Amino acid sequence: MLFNSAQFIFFFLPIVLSVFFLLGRLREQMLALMWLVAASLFFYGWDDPYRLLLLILYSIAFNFFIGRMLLANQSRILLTIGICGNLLLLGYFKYAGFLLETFSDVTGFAVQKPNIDLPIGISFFTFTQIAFLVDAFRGEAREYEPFHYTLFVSFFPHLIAGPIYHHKEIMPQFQLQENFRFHISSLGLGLTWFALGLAKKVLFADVLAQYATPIFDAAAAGKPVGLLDGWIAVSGFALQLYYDFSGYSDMAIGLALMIGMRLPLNFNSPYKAQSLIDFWRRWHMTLSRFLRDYLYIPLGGNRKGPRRRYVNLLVTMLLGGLWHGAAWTFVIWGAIHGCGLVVNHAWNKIADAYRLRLPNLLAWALTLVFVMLAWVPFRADSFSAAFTMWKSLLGFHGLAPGETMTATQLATAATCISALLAVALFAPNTQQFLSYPRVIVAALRQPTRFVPSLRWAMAAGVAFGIAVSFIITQRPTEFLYFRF
Amino acid sequence: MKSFLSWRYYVALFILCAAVGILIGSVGQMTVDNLKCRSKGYDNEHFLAYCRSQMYADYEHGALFYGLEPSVTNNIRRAEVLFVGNSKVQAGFSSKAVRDYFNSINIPFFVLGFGYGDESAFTQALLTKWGISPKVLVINADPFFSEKLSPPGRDAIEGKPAFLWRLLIKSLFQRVHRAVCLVASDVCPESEPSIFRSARDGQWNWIGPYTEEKSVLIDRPAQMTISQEELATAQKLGENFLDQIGLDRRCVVLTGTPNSVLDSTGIATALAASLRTSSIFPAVDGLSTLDTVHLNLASAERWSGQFVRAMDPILEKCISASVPSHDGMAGIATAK
Repeated sequence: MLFNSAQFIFFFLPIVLSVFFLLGRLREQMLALMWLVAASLFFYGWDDPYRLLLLILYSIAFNFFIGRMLLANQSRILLTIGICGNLLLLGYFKYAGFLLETFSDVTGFAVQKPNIDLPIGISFFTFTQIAFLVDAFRGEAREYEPFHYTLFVSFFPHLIAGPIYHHKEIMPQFQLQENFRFHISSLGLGLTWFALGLAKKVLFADVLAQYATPIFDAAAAGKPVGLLDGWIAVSGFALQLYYDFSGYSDMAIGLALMIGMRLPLNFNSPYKAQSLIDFWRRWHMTLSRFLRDYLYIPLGGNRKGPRRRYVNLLVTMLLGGLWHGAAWTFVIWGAIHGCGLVVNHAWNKIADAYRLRLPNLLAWALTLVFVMLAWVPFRADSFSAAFTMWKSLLGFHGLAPGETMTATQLATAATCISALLAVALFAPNTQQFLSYPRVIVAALRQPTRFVPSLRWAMAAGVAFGIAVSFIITQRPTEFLYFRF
Repeated sequence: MKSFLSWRYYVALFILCAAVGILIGSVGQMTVDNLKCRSKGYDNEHFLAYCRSQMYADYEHGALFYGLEPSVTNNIRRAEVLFVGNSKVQAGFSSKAVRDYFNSINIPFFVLGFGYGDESAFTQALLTKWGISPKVLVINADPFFSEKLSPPGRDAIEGKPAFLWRLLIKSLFQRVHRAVCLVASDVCPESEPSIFRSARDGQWNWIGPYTEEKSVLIDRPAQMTISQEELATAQKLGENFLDQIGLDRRCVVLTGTPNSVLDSTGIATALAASLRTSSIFPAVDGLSTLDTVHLNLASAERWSGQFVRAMDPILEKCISASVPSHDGMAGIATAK
């Protein structure tokens, strides 16, 4: 089920909230949790109940029992079994086809690619549970009730595409009695977050897709793409991805807030970054945190000298790229960012030594252009499509627009993209608008600092309404990160 | 503007503004998507029944079924003479001759045909819903009596929320469309074929907004007819339909609008005989259609003029009003 669908907004959500708070009011805390579990599983299994529910319940049961055993006995073998079990599941569904195809390309043996549909959200719930197992091994996790654990993994606001949260910041919230009581402030704030996220997705991202998609499709079909079209496509996609995924994350945070829970932030105006290091502190923050804590640091981080640090960075980013999708284009995207981070760290060292400093504007422009160029393989269907697009961006296919858009359409696209880029660069982001805490104190119910005003009620309400009107009249579109 | 609210008022205002936003967004999208529809046919009486646009398409089924246009339901209820059938009845009886005739004898009428080939199933549902009981019912019976429902007819009867919502938005859109095209005519290309319908008497205004006047001469009798089985089914459905209407069969007039494709007259004659209704088939030479099926405007004027004049004795019998006597009774065949 999609957050941006009429059945979610008008049926699923009101029913889930009403029953949850009714049970909370009756002080049936456990029943309320069970209700949330049932609702989350219903939400997850909406499109393909038997296959998806079987998969997630198996994954939850496997990790819960391995986690329990690890808490009792911190055995490295058990941890290895647990991680391998998760990676095998992910590998089978996500990477089997890719590996066989690569094997076939390299060896020349004709191997038939298996037809396996990628279960939605598998990358996210697998990573969430690997983190739990590692923490259980490190003795940093507690023993949890099965229902709490099931809800921790399947909690519907985060299940499909994150934010990838940590058990320490969520589990205590399931036990806070206050969270089971209805708070009008939480509902109001949650609705506002949800409204802004929905508006980002429906009114910004989906509109940008209309400009970026045809040009990328043309490049994939081998058609010439002019310099202007190319930059419209790349900048359009960069913004589309940002508004789509940050919109989804805002909606997830809003939904959790309505239930009285707080999820970690996932974006912090990434296109305002003045370096690539800064960019990764602002983009998909919960994935960066996961990769740092469960990959980069265990690999040695920066503790084993600069060379090893750079290798660790490259490995982390390569695997991070591969996590996004089973294709070499994602590996290339990861490699570009890995190399970029290595250069960024090296530059920082040189700059410190020689007291050099790039002007802020230049640093920002360099970072933005680098990130945009790197989005090309992330978006392109193949290497050749990526190279065609890069060549277009560098002017190899001429300045004249291609056949995909008329001059008027290009002008409209350029105006729309410029306006939405200005919003991404100069406007405060959602957490700044709504005073959301940067750090979640899970054991306490944090007070709402946002002050409700007439202006906000009207702005958020109308934005929500207009976005819903688009959903009603057009088919809702999937979030880009659902495919990862 | 920077006033602070309690959370309770905040949530209430949010929901209110969301509802307004949904309405504004929906009408706005409908307007942007359908600016190409014609706007010149609007007036205080006519609404946009159809526009050849995926986002608008049919409106009249829902508008008449739910009485969305001002006083349309009252006008149908008030009508003492109803014309029912598919688009052929709309083409044949949307004429000045019909309007002038009924105005002259002060008898309210309504042309209640529908596009998309809808026939008795939808009409019956509509008549039942509003408890409509005319004194005279004119049926374009070729064969009309059918269980088939068009997609818009089915949608209207099912009345799912999404359909009703779109119907409401189409209704609001027309007000915005009319105003926008009046104020800023440059943004309205007026390019999509459209049909306007009178809420007062149900007549279509379509020659011009939808299609140009064409002339395909009906120069030989139509060959196509329906099978005996189809005729038997139509007779059975016709009995049920007329029983439900509860009208004296002599006040039910069956006819077949002339065309080059279907032997409408033959079918209607057979049905009138078996259903024991009246029938009228004006004998008018040199009629033409737009497209071999629908009478063109000039022919509709001539044919329907003859038709309504031939209704005099039936109106006298069925409606207690002073009906002037007219000449030109030729072509009347009243089945007893």
